[in-house]
Amino acid sequence: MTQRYGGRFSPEPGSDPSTGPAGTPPEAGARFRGRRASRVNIAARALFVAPIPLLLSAIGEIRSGDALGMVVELGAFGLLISSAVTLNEGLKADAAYAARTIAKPPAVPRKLLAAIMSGLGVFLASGIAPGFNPLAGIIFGAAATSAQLLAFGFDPMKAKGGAGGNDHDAERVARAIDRAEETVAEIMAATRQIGDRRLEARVESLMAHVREVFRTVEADPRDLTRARKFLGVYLVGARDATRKFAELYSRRRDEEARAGYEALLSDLEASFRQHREDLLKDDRVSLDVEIEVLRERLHQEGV
Amino acid sequence: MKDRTLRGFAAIVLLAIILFSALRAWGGAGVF
Repeated sequence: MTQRYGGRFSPEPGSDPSTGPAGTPPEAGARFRGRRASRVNIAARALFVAPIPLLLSAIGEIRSGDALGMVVELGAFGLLISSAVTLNEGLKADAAYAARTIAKPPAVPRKLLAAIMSGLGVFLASGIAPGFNPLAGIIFGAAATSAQLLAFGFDPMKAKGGAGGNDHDAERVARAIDRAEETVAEIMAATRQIGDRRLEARVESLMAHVREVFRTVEADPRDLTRARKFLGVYLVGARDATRKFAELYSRRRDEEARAGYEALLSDLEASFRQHREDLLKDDRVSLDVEIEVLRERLHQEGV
Repeated sequence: MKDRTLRGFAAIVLLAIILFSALRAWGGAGVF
């Protein structure tokens, strides 16, 4: 007889006969649905490594007693490393912007700032450092700034809006979803404190449903008015309940509280799924109306 | 694809500028 591998502490309940079925197992891949893999840009990471000789050089200046040289080289090193940090943050903000249907541009143009910092750093390293030519430094600095802008591009500067909605609506949706995503992140953080893989998996699958509601609202900003209660009241309530439960359960393994919390999770899951179906049904109705109107016109015109 | 190639070259130029100005500064400090 074959038996699936899994024990008392496996995240999937019901796989071990000694514990009995403890609810439906989460769907396969539920924890990754609605998420995107983060891309790693090797060139952007290499920018952390390239300036390292400057640090060694500054140490060399200390050894040879050149205080000014040390300051210039440490300054250049600092600028180049800050540029690498800012660029990587900028790329992350860019990816977040690209992932959304509706998004505001990042408040700080990080990629642009990073390119300017790189130029200044290269200028200091090759123009001001003792024994170098300032003109060459300016040219190298300008070349570095333009190469960085060419390699990594500019920051997104315009707000992206959904089809059919105006700018104001799009901005409201973007803000509401931003806040809701924060709440989801807080719920996940609180869940990790519980230290129970099974509950963690359940909350993760619940959050996958929540993210589907986000995507639905993004696709049709008119849904925001109806989704507001869901995004606000339910989600914040779930966060507070999760926090309290995590605090209690990490202090004392209270099985009664756990059963209550699991019941809450089931209710929330049912409610979130229902909610999304309602939102989609509304889209269906408006699609049906549009199709009907168009077909009637075609019939009238004798097609 | 062409755009990607251009970006790749620009990234290599940028890394070379930073690395070699850093290496030159290191050489100038009299460590070598």
